[in-house]
Amino acid sequence: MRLGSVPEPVLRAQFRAAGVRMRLAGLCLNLRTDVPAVIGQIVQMYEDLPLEAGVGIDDYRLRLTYASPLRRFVGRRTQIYIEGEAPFFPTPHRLAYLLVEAALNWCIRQTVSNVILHAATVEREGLAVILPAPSSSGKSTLCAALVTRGWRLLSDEHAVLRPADGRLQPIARPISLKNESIGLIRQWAPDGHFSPAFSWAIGEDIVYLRPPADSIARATETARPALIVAPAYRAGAPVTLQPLGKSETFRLLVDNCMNYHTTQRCGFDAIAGLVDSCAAWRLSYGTLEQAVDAMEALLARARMDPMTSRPTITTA
Amino acid sequence: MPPANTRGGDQKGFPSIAPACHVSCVSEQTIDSQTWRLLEPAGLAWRCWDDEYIVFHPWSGMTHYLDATAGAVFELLLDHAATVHDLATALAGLADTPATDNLSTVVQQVLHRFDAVGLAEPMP
Repeated sequence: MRLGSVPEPVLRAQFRAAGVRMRLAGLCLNLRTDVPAVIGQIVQMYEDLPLEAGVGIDDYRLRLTYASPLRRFVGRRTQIYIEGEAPFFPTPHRLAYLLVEAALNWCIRQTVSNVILHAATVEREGLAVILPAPSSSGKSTLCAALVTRGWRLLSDEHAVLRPADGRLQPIARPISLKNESIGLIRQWAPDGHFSPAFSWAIGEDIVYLRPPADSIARATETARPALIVAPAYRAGAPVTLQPLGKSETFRLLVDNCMNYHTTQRCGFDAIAGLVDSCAAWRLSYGTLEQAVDAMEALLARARMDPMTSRPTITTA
Repeated sequence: MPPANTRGGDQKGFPSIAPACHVSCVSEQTIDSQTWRLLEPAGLAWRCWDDEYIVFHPWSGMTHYLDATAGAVFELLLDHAATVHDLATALAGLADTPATDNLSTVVQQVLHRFDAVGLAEPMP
């Protein structure tokens, strides 16, 4: 049963009582909350997510509630607990949904059996592309542009690499868009399902884009990485592609690895294997049309000759 | 948004094994004839890309980036233990240049750095 197909009163009761189970990245997460406003936002963003059966094993238990009984009524602030601990500061009630997303990120990052990269991942025709980049570089913007043009969303924030077989584990969650990219993607995909804007500081807005239903339906289909593309958005700039050397690619991935030190030899082998098997580029782009075209071209080259395809520098 | 504060990126520490200071209290003759070996090479994981060696050292958990010279010394020691003289001669052969005192000094510096990070040791 999908989250969005459960009658709202039933769902609200379940969120308040035993909690709602969500399966993400192989984890079973049980979320309870008595904050009414956030329930609607979760349903809006995770509408297509299948609910786990009532009996099972919770890997993490999350509880979003008011920071204190008083905070339910005055200066309303919310707090999220993971297994009884509160890893984040209390947040204004209007930003409670951000706490949920942050807590889900936290749980995924605790995994030690997989290598976690700070990267978006997308897939088309069986080939996955890893987009590693620091925040505000245009990674999520490009990811959103691609998945609204037929690419499968594997993940927006965390690339989950399985050391055992070198494949990527999907986590089709809402794509977080910040500031300038919000307007770009609203214009690019006017039919997309967007969350309300969450303003967490002056001039700092976050809007989430609901993941495509097809990406969620294929959440158990892992994908083989074929390309690594480090994106960088600069408004109005021409599109450029530069090949990355293997050593440089290794450093890029390690710099964006969230658990390299805890995964030790396993992490080294997994990342080195990724570098061995994928061609890598740096993509600078100024418009989404150019960026999507460049990604299509890279994928076509990778399909023809995965290891030797080296792009020439192209401009619009 | 408060940070999760769980990212371990501040401790990556990737030292480059480039020749650094040369500390020696024995004669050059002794150093030249001393035999060096890698410490438990079977446990090391490494790659060579773009003339750079990247070595994961499981006992320290560190990842070391070796430049071309250090990488060549590392690769020679993977084959077998060797003296500074042997290594300098082999490097000179690879570069098709004569083995100079300067090259021996560079090799000594590399070996001392290997020793400092636990990659290699002089044999007793």
